[in-house]
Amino acid sequence: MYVEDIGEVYCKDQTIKKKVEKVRVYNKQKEETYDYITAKDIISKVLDSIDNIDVTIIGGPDVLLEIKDKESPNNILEILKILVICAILFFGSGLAIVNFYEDVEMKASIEKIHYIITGEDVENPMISTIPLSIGVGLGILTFFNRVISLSKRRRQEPGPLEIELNLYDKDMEEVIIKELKNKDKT
Amino acid sequence: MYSFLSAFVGLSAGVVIGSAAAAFFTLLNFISRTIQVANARKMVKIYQNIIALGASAYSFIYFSNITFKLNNMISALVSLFMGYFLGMFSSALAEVLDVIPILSKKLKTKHRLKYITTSLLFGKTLGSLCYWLIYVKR
Repeated sequence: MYVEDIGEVYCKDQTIKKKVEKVRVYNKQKEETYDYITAKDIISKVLDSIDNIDVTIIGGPDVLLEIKDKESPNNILEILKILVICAILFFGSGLAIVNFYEDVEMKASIEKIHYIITGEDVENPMISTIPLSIGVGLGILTFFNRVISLSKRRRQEPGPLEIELNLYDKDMEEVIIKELKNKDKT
Repeated sequence: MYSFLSAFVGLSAGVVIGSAAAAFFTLLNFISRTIQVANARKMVKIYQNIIALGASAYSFIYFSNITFKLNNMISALVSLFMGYFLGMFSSALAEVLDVIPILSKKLKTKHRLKYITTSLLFGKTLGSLCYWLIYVKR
């Protein structure tokens, strides 16, 4: 791991910049783990190897390292995984909706509403239940991502699921760094 | 004319139900957890669409008397997927309510969370089995 892998270097003198970028800050490890480098480590390593410079660090104090093997692309497994997740989400969300309908006796209420509006007493009024089903899908879609919008920019906005994922990643990084630091202290 | 109005009422009710369900899923944030665990975040869009599709399809099937007449084993597989979802759902619900963190703080078991989650797992599985095998049969 060199400095250039974890950040950018700015310096007027190009030779010094190259030198700083090639400073080794972390030694390779064999197993896959998490580790971290503090800003203090980086500064001391850089100052040790190059004389007569000042180092200013801009940004967070700790860098989290994810040490991984080279990922071997395994497309079949990847597709299988995605299919399983899709199946879980498909049947699961279906179950949730059916659970809800059973709980609130949706069948009776939709028949009642249909009777109030049209005066016909039908069992399973398709004219009402099909739009209802489409509406459920539309509602979920509008919640997750913006479907109806004229501007292309707004359609690219991240939905709540992406935001949640991002938040989760950030929290996880914080916890990992904290735990690693605790482990080093003891 | 009136049946058109009925269709419109159905559509608007569906939109409200759908967005409420989606909001609930996101609040519990177990779908994002699934994606995170499976390390498959490239496909977030697909997952959102599949949730919408599943809810829509099941909503329609619930009201009509469709049967696909498939094998028993397929029913078992589908039930497995549903159980998986339900397990995540219930754990996420307990997690959102902060039951486990508060309990572990009171009981001072911060470093033994593994045992708590494992016992929760077995308890839930056992409870579900008891319900279906003993309670329902009675």
